[in-house]
Amino acid sequence: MEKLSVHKPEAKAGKKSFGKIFSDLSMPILLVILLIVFSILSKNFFSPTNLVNILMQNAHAAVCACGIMMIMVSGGCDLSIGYQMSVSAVLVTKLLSEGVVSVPVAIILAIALCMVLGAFNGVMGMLLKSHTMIVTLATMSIFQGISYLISNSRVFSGMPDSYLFLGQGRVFGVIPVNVLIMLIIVVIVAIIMGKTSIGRKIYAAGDNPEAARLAGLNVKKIKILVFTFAGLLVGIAAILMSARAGSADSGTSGPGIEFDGITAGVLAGVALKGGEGTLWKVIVAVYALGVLSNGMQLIGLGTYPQYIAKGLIMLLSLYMSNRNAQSM
Amino acid sequence: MKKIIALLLALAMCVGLAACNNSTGNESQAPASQPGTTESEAGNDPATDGEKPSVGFVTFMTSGEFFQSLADTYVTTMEAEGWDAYYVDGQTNPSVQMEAAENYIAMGVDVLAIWSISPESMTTVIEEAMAQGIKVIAFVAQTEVYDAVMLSDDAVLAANLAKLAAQWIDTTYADAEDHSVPVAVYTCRAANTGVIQGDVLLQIEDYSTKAKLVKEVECADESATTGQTTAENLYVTNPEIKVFLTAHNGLAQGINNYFTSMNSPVTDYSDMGIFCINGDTATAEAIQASKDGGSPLRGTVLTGSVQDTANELRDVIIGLYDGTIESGHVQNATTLFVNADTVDEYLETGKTSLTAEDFE
Repeated sequence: MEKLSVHKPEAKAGKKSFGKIFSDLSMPILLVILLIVFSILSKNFFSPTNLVNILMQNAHAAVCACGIMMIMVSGGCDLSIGYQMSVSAVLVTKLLSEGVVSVPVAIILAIALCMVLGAFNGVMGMLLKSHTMIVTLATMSIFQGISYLISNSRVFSGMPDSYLFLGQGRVFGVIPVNVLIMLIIVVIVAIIMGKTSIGRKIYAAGDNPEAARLAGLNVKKIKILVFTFAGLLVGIAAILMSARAGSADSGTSGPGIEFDGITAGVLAGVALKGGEGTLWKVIVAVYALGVLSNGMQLIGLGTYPQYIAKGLIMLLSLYMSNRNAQSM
Repeated sequence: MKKIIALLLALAMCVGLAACNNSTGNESQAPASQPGTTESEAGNDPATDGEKPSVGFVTFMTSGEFFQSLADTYVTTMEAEGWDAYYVDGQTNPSVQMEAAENYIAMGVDVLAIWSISPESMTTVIEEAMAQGIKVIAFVAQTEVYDAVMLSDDAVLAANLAKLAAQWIDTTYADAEDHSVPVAVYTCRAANTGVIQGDVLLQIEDYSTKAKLVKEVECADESATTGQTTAENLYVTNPEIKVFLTAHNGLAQGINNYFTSMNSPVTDYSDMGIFCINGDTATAEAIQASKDGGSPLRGTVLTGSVQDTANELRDVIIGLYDGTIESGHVQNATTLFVNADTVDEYLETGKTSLTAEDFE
C-alpha cells in the first residue's frame, strides 16, 4: 500500500527517524489514545456491542473515503459525493419501496448511476479545464436537483429484507455484513493503489501531472477513470447506508459525508495537491473520527462541547502527522 | 472518442433531468431557489398576463415531505380558485427569503405569504411590500408587521405532543410507580423552534404521573441517520429507556429505524414508545404498524393536515384580497393528534377526531 518511493527517499534507504515513525503512525496512535480515554471515562464504551456499533456506523463512510482518497491522490477533489450518494440512495429505495424492480436490478442501477455521475464529474473537469473542486461544486447542485426530483422530498422506506440484510445483517450471526463488504472493498482498493500499475499511475498523475504526461501517461484518462471508480464506491456506500438505515431521503442520505471523507483524508496525510496518501491511514482516520463521535455521546458531552473537542483533537492529529515535517 | 463520450454523458444527464422533471407535473410547483426564473419559464408572469390575481409564498424550506407537499398543495388549491400561485424554497436562509420577497414585490403579486426563518429580518421588505399595496401574510412565524398572521405556537404544539405521549405512558404503565418509566428527550437546538419545543418536552414529568426523564440527547442535526446512530449509542449506556420524545420527525424515524432493524436488541415493542412532532406519511405508516407490534413509533402531532393548512392559507389570501378579512387578522392553527386510534382516519382523510380538549 506504500505510495511511490519518490516521495519517501528515507524509506527507500530503509532508515526512519523516530519523528517520521511517530508522524506515520499518528492516526493509529490517536485512535488508541481515544479508545483508552473513552474506555476510562465510560464503562460501556469498550463493550462488544458498542465496538460493533462503531464498526457498523462508519462502514459506509469508510467505503466512501476510499473513493475520496483515490480522487485526492489523483490531484482532484469531489464535493459532489454527498449528493451522488443521495441520488443513488433515493433511487434505489424508491425503486424497491414501490416494488418496481428486484433487489439486484435496483442495486446495479444505483451503482451504475453513480458511476455515470462520477464519470460526468471527470469529463467535465477535463472539458472545462478547471480544478475538480470547482467543477464538482457545480455538479453538486445538479445532483442535488436530480435527487430531489427523484424523491420529491419524500422519505422512502419499506425495503425488502434481502436489501436490508446488506446494511443490518450478520454473517453467522456475528460479523456485520456491511463491515465485511467494507473490508473487501478496502482490500481491493489497497491492492489497486499499492500493487498495480494503474495505482502507480494514479499517484504519478496526482503528484506531477505534467511529468506524468511527458512520461507517456494519459493523465486525463486516468483522472476520468478515478472519478468513475470513485462513483462505483460511492454507489456501494449509498447502498450500505440506506440498507442500514432502512430508509432514505434527499436531504440527509449522503450530503455532508464528503467533508467527513475529506477530513479523514487530510488527517491521514493525503495531500490536497495529490500524489500522496495511504489507504489504511484513511480508514483508521475514519474510525478515529467515528470513535470520537461515539465516545463523546457515551460520556454525555453536549453538542457544542463536542464541536470544540472534535476541532481540538483534529488540530492535535494534524500536529502529530506534520511533526516530522516541521522538524525538518 | 473523448468528445463523443462527453456528449453522450451530457445527453444522458439532460435526458435524466427531463425525465425526472416530467414526473413532477406542473412546472410552477417545482422548487425554485431563484425566484422568478421558474415562473417566467412557465409563462405565468403575473406582470404580463394581468388577468388573474397572484400570490407568492416564501416557504421555510422544501426539503422534507411536509414542506414540499404543503407548497404543492397550496399551488393546486390557489389555482383551483383561479389564482396564479408561486412559491420559492426559503432554504432556511433569511437572505434567500428576503431576495425572494423582493422579487415577488418586483413581480407585482397581489398577496405575499412568508414563512419566515428570522422574522425580525423581514420587517423592511414587508413594509416595502405593504407600501406597494401588497397584502402580506406572516405564516407560522409572526413578523413585526403584517396584514394577517397565521400562528402555530411552537410551545403549544410541543405541549400537545407531551400530552399525547403522557396519555400512552400512563395507560401502558398504569401499574408502575409514579415517575418510574424512563424517558429520553432527543433535541436539536440548531433553530429556535427546536429549542422551544425541546424545552417543553423536557417537562414530560409535569404531563405524566409515570414518566421519569432520564436523559436529554442533544443532536447536531435532525436527520434520520443521526437519530439512528444516537439511538444505537444511547442503548449502550441506557438500555432501560422505554420512551423517546422528540420535536423532530427525522430523529424519530432514525430511532424507529434502529429498533426495527435486524440488529435491534428489542423485538417486543409493547412497552416502548416513540413520539414526534410533524410526522410525515412514513411516520403515520410506522404508527399504523405499531398497532400490530411492528414498530415502537406511537404518535405524532401536526398543525393540521397539509390540505387543511393549504385551505386555511387560501381563505386568508382570498379574504385579504377581497377585503372580507381586515388588516391585523390573527388566526391560530389547530393541532392534529395521530396515534394508534386515529392513524387510519388520518391516512384516509388527513384529519383526526382527537382534539386538544380530549387531553384536558
